[in-house]
Amino acid sequence: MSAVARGGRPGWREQVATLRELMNRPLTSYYLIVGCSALLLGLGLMMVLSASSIPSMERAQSPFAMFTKQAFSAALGVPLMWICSRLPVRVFRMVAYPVIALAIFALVLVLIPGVGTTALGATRWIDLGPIYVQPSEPAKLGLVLWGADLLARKKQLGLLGEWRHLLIPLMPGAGLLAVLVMLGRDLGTTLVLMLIFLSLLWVVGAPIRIFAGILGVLALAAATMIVVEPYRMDRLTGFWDPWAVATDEGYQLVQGLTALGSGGWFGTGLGASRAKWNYLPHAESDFIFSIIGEELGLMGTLIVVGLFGLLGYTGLRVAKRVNDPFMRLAAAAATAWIAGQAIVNIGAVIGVFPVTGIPLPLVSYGGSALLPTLAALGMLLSFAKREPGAQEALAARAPGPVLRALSWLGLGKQKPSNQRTGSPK
Amino acid sequence: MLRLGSSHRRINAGMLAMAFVLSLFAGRLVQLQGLDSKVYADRAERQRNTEAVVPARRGTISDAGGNVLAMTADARTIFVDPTMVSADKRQAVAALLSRALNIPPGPILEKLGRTESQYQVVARNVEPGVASALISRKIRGVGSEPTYRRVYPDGKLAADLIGYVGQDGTGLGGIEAAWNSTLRGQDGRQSVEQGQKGHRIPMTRSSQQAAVPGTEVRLTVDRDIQWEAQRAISEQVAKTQARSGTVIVMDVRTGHVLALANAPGLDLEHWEKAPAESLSNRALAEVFEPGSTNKVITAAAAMETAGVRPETTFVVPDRYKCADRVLRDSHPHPVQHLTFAGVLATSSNVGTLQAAERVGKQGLYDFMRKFGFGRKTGLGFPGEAAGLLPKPETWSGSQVCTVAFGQGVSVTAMQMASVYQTIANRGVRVEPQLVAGTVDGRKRFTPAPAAERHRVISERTAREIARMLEGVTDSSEGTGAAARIPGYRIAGKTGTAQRYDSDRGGYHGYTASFAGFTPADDPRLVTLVVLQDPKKGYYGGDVAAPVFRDVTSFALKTRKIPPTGTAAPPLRIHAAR
Repeated sequence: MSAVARGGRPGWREQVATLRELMNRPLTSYYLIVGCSALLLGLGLMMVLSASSIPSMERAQSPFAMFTKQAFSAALGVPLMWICSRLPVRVFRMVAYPVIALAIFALVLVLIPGVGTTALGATRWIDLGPIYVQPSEPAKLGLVLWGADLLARKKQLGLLGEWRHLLIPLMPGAGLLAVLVMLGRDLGTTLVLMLIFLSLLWVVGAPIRIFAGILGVLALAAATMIVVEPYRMDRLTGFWDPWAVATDEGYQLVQGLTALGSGGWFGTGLGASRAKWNYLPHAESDFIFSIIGEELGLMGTLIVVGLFGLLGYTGLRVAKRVNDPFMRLAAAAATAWIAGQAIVNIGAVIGVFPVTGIPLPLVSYGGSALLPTLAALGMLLSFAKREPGAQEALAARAPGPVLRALSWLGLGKQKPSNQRTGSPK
Repeated sequence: MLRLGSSHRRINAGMLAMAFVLSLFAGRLVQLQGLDSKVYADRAERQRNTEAVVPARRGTISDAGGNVLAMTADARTIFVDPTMVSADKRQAVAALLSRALNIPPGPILEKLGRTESQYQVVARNVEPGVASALISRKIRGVGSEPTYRRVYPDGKLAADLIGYVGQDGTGLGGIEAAWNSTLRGQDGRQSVEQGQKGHRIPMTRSSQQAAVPGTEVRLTVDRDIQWEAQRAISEQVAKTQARSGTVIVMDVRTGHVLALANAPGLDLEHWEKAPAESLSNRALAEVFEPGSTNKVITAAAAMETAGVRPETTFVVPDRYKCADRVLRDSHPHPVQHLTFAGVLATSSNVGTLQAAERVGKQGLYDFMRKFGFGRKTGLGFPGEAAGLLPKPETWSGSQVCTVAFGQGVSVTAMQMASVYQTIANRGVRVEPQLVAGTVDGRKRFTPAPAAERHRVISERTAREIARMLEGVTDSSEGTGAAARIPGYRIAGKTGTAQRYDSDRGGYHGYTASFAGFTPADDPRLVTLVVLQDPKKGYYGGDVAAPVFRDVTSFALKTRKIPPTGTAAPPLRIHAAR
């Protein structure tokens, strides 16, 4: 900063130093999470409006039907995030058991015929009149909180030196969730649950051998699953050469790649997607990244990838900087969930992973996914405020954004701005 | 005791892994969107671009007064997509369509069963109102698309002249075929970007080339005269139980065809079901041996080349040996002394062939050729026949005699009408014309090029033949008394020829005809009536002449042609002994 002030052109060394200074500030994590979340959520709303307008028009005679629902979810989710960001850590530990219990209950409920709603081969939804609730989404948050709380308590009690305490009851718990989700034929969510489970063990410092064992078990389970339901094999192999099956299994992927590719460097422009005209199924949810690619081009997709990268970096940064084991585990697991889910989703859309059918966090259409994600991000904010030095920085901060905005409008207690600029009289 | 790893190092490792995966993603995105973008963009464009042909509206065919004879109206084609109608709903959908379109449900049901197809036409040429009422009911799998259909406001009027149009809108017969390139117009083309369900994607590139509507073709035919001609010939064909009949009315001076009617007629709405001979225009496509109406050519040749005059005396027995054949008059009679006018008036075969012998083969042939025999007229009408005029070198010994009264040559009705037009027009032949001109989109009339004219016989000969032909109708011994129209001077000639029946391969039945023009001293209209194989009466003067009278008197009134008010000069039939 001082280099700029002297009027000279800053050298790269100075710039790196400036950046490092900026990154080392206590509230950097907080602002990065707020910024990335806001940008992704805003972009998501915009893209949901664009991508869902055609199916909305067909189903509800209004291009805004799905967008309105999503905006409503966001309107619920943002205050939820704000509330979570102000909650003390003990509240997160307190709600861990209720959340996971509720999630398991709902997951069981989904499997009861007549309660769960099946769509496209997956039983994931509970029909609550105007909205559908997908219990597997809060289950992810439940697993994060419960697992982190469990391992943190064992760590504080010094029990983690034993295999038994490391894996029990965490592994059976995660396994139960995974099996329930799997029974609903939701492969993607199962994958994310596994990712959360593994990230908890990873961050707590479990020996590498454990991972080898678990991955072996998982591979065996996956093989069993495929033998039971052969359609999964088609999904797993279809992505290698989607063009060979472009009219059936590969149709969605091929259309997604076509949309993505035809966006080029700078895209066709907002709202100008062609693929959303019923060519690309689920353009507003699982394949929204394709529409982003088509409308905003490579610039748009790289920015989205970059934002998720930055969000992931910040989440892990929070995990590194906090001192409390629960906060560290929960922050790392939540980050693994959000960044991992983004990677699985984008990887499927760009044809490097099999299509598993999970939404892009913050961006895709779907309130059930958005609310737990925003709650998790709120939790990360709450942790970020507990990074060393952050409390002091917060206390020293000028009046809050609301007060500043009010004063700028001449409504707050601050001096009216026209006194500063001078009256024309 | 397990040794736990460091959380910090583990988190750093996670960061690295994430950064690695995301960089791979970025690389893949550069590949997809930067390097291979063109491939995907092309593929997407191919998928959503639809090329459609915008059919041009076919031009109208109208009569000389601009009254519409055939026009193109909007219509709809109703189709079904069998893949969108489930098996249990087929019955209901078929019943619904059957009621709305008034067609039997059986074929619809069968089409709904063809689930391998996504497009089955249920009905064509549906009224737009009926179609939109059907579409507004939103039956799944039923659609309509705009087309055109040909409408004939006057029903069967001039149908075999207008000609029929195929399902694709191409003229296949008559004026529709002959003038197809004028009537057709220029189809437009449009390319639109479409969504997967067929919506047009808004604000996308679309190229459009508007269709150029076809040009109106205006005929020389007068709707009213055509109607009367059609009525009269149809009635007479029914009354005489003839196989078919033809009436042609022409303007003497311009060669414009004012009416061209054939019976039995053609129903253009159901032309597919019509017999082949009804699809062509008999007046132009059917050839027959003309019989006595051909005698005017012999007369013209004799007067032009052999010095015969109307008063020239012929000694006429009722039979005459010509080469190896004995030829007779139609009725036996004692030897008569007839003037040449008398020969024509009484339609004496023997007298005519005596005159023909003075002319000779080559002379007869040349005159028939000059009158237009043996070649097509300039109408350019599809299916028109040239007739049969053998070269004189190939004529048999007696053929010079039979040709003289119209046997051994065959002609179309139009060729015969043209002979009388030439005589009526004082010896100048005008190529018959059916099309007066074209009318463009701005209602500007462009007349067709004037018809070719050339003199065939001298004016004097033409006048004298006209005078002699008056004797056919006005003398007490003439064969054409039934053609008289009170107040008008009528020149004409009856014809009764044995008819060559190609089905039986021999002569069977008769061809009865009457050709004439009026007013005889200032001819304006020429009319030809031909009846093929009439069974109740067969003399041209009995069956054809009344039709001539009816149609000509109607045409005179319609064209507002007044009588000349002159009296025919006396004509001697019998020569002084």
